[in-house]
Amino acid sequence: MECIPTNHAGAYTAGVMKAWYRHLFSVQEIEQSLVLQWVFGATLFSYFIALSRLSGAVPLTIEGFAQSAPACWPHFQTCYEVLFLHGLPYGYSQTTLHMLFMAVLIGIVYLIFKKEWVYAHALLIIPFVWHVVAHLFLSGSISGNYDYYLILFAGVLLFFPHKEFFLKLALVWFYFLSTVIKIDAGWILGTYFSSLKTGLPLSPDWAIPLYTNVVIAMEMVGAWFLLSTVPWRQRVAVAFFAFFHVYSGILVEYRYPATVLPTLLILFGPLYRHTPVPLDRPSIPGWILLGLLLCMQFVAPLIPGDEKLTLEGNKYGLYMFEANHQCVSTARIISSSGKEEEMIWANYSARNRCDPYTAWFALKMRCKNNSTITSMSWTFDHSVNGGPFLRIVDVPDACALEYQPFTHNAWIKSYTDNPQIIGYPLENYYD
Amino acid sequence: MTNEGVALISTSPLQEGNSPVQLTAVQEFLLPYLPYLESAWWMVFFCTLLYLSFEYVVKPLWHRWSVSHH
Repeated sequence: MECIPTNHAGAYTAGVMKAWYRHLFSVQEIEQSLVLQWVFGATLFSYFIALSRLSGAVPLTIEGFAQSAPACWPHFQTCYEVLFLHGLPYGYSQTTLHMLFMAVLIGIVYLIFKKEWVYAHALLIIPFVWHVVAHLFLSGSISGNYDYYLILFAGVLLFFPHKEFFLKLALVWFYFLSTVIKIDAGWILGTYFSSLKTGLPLSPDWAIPLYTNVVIAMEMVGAWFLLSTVPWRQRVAVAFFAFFHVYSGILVEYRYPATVLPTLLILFGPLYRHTPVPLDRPSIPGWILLGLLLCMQFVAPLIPGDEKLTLEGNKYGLYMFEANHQCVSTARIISSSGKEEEMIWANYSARNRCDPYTAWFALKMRCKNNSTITSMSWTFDHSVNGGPFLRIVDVPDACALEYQPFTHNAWIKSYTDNPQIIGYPLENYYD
Repeated sequence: MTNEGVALISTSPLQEGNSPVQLTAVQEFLLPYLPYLESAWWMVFFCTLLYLSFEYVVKPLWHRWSVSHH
């Protein structure tokens, strides 16, 4: 007899906790909306893809960092101090951890099947947190813009009230913000693609500026018709962006379309209904989030110098296809024994960002780990969109440099500093 | 970095007489107007932002305020 009241008290406490949790994260919105339930599934699908990549990501491991010094984020340049995973073949912790995450993801699938949305929601926070920590803190060299999309979608779905409205607006907002980096010769003239050996997929070279400007127009203005109450306008916008994501997959492959396309079709496809604009107190965090994203997108343009050339602040906003890069980094290392060594790193792949910070970070790590180095002169030559190689870094000692994440670093030259022309690039590849 | 990348860059582009990657005729035609085109796109960007702020925030707030005061 004594057990019954205890059980009742336990069940009561659990019920109260569940109600409190449901209210805190607005889980009832997911419980009542088929659209949000589908988005929940699409987000889960994205985490399967994202975590499969993280389970083998070398920069996240102690040994991987020691071997190649992949760059930490500029805002957390000592990320290597908190790395704790050992990857294959040096240890099992990285793959073990990610198999635990897979168990969590499969558990969420079961909870969705049982319609236990509160528990499914609570479990989804685990991959969300790990994905954010890994991409925004533990390594500065593993994230792509598709990770930003996933963080945004999952963040709104998990934590914000008025989920359906802000998911719709967030997707449109990202299309809109992505045009900030496209207002440049690379997209207006289309030199990003015409300087590729293979050109723009399925397009003659003369038509490149036409297509690139159509994309700018659609992302800047046309994307807002996704939210239209006029059916044909809304449908035309959906059809365009669905085609756009399938087409873009020819270059970017599966990851980006797999992250964005399902959510696009769920939010704006056959299940689309107009969602009224919320302006009540619970909507304030959503509006603040969109304002913050706008500010982040302007971090790079507001740092003095051309961000396509200096790459300063580039990754703090959307930066997909911001410019076609080629570069040569040359360091001459002199050790205390008088030995001289030359290190050349060259890149011809358009998508490899040629960030002088990344090259400097690897050199700085070498200085840090090798006390016999007495000096390291360094030059960095950068070509943007098929333009000339400009010597944007020419310093006597890379070891003595520091890098500021949100202001201009005087040792990186921009166009106004008239950097020396070193040579001209060949047409390159998107690799 | 790959050896192919090093070779690709070091065998040709640093020699004298090379020129930037060739522009197409359409790009050559547009090139002088690039600053104007950039300004035009920025204008479209900020006008869209302004219009949407009005449509999504100011108008609904104004509507709510006017309903509650009449």
